[in-house]
Amino acid sequence: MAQEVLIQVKDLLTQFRLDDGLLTAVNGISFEIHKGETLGIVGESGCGKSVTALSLLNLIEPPGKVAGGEILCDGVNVLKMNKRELRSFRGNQIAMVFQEPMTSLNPVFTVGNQIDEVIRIHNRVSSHEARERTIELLRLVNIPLPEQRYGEYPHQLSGGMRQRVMIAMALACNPKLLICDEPTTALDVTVQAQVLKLINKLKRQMDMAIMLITHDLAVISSIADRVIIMYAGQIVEEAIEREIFTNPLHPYTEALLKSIPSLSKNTEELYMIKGMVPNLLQRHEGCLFAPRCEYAREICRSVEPSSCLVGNTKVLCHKYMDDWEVAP
Amino acid sequence: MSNLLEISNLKKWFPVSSRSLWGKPAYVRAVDDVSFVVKEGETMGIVGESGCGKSTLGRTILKLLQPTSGSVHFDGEDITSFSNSRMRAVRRNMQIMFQDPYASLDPRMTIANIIAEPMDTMKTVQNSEQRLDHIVELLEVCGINKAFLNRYPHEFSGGQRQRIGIARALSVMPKLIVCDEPVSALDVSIQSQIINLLVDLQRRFNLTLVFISHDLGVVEYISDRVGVMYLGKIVEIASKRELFAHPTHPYTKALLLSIPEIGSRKFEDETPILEGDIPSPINPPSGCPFHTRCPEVMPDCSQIVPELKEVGEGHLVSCIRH
Ligand SMILES: Nc1ncnc2c1ncn2[C@@H]1O[C@H](COP(=O)(O)OP(=O)(O)O)[C@@H](O)[C@H]1O
Ligand SMILES: Nc1ncnc2c1ncn2[C@@H]1O[C@H](COP(=O)(O)OP(=O)(O)O)[C@@H](O)[C@H]1O
Ligand SMILES: [Mg+2]
Ligand SMILES: [Mg+2]
Repeated sequence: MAQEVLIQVKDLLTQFRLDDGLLTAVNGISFEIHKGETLGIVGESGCGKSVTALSLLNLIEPPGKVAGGEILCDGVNVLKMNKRELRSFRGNQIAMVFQEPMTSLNPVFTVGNQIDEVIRIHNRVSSHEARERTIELLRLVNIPLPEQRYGEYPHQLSGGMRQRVMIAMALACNPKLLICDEPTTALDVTVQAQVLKLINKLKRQMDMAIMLITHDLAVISSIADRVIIMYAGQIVEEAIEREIFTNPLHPYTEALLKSIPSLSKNTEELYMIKGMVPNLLQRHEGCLFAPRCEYAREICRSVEPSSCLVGNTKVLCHKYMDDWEVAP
Repeated sequence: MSNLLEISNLKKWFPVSSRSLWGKPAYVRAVDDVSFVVKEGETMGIVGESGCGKSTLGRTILKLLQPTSGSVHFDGEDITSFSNSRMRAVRRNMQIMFQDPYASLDPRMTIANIIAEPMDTMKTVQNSEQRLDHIVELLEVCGINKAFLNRYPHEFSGGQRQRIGIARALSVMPKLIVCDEPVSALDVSIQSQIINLLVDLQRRFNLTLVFISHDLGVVEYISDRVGVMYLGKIVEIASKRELFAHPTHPYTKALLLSIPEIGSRKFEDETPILEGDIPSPINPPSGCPFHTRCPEVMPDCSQIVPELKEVGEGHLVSCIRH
């Protein structure tokens, strides 16, 4: 696969200034999104997935702030764009679909009008043309009877249907990257299957990259090309999908996979990760996962690991660093 | 093994304000003619998509909701028409735990009082010393630090709250616990702790569990037998092994095809697994409730109401093709 870079994220640091201190939600992460790929971002709640996505769109609002790093799209830093540049960037370059479709749709307008509106903000078209395009989009996202649905209000649609309307709206300006933040978490499994099939179809037909955020490893394994595993605001492992699931390197990835019931059908007990996620308000020494890690040594608790390449997997762990064999 | 729970033709219909065409009252048929038995010490899994009636079924079994018709036998007694006061003695042996560890614990009560509430209402302990001993024992069994005795729910994480919910359900040493999506709100690493705890307690105390979940992976792991619900009805019921190896009802097959699995690229092709949405339980389709979406539908399916029929040992399917 050609690996043309679409978005490059360098040392992204996003923090929230809260009453009880400075919370580091995204802790200096770097990664790339390639043209036309499905990149999966997985991790447990609070690990910084949504904040990463919002940072990409420069949508972090006070008390939050992108405190460091760059987000490069065609050589331009998104974090330095002015309002006008941002408006065209959001939509034409990146669009986002959120978990809860009901809160992102306006209840007092028909779904058709809401999509028309997005089209007309970004393109100079007549209302008739906008309507035609909207109906085409509704058809593209597999909404039956799109002419009829055009005039309906969000509450008249089922959860799965609303999620597809949100996707149609995000597609209105042919973005090069579609970010889906937990797009199926609130949906039932048969409806989720429909949405996942739709995402695959759109990626094929529109040659679009997808950044799929979820806490569900099975969803990621089913549709991602590459996978990023996040823990406590950091990327702990990054590899192609098959590598992550057949040859996990980071102890956290390994532990997560061992905790999944469906992978442990005949074992007596499920694996349990001991302890809790670190408090992101505090400064930490060493590796953030060390207190919960089976392999941790002294060095893990005192020295911060740096990212290293093992085969084609990027991993943030002392185990794979040169001095591990002799480490205290 | 004897049957601890037997439910027969159980219905729970909720009246709704909107009336049907001819002015007859309309109902949500949340549970619509469900029958099955649960043996002592086994885990019966109930799966199905949201709104299919799982929670209503769980509550009606415990008679937290009065059945519209049908019967519930528990531990050899027909409890269907037991009065509230007679139910009190039965409730000691049937407890429930809920999905949302945030909403299900009273925020103004200490952990100790929350856990002890069932024993307090049922007066299962004689004095305060015995009560405290028992609370401490429950905390230990469920892996909660006993120093937290006098803290409040908001000081605990989701996983810890679910442990508190389990300790509370266990406090009166019930025979049956209905677990309504107990791990659905938890991250995988916490989920595995709670599942292990439930399995361990079940073995130690010979508990019988009705385990409700929309997560088929969890149900497959924890259950001995599994029932699949669709629009208020059980469409298939079998041992776990049989159900996952030989799903027979078209809805069960569709559910299994829809679950994402690690290492499978299930969603590459465009053909939908199921068309359309779940119909309204107020006006369920005639005949088989699944016929409007069934990939294997035949003309008779809209006419004939299928009954659960045995297709293999202990494997029941409600589909006229079988
Ligand atoms: N608006 C906000 N104000 C304060 N803290 C926030 C805000 N948004 C996110 N956070 C914190 O940032 C961390 C990462 O959150 P998030 O990216 O939403 O996690 P997730 O991986 O579940 O999407 C969490 O600790 C969260 O509490
Ligand atoms: N108290 C109630 N009054 C009216 N309808 C209800 C009530 N409780 C549940 N329902 C309806 O009954 C159906 C089954 O709900 P529920 O048992 O909660 O399903 P599940 O737990 O499978 O998601 C749904 O259509 C729901 O809206
Ligand atoms: Mg999130
Ligand atoms: Mg429910």
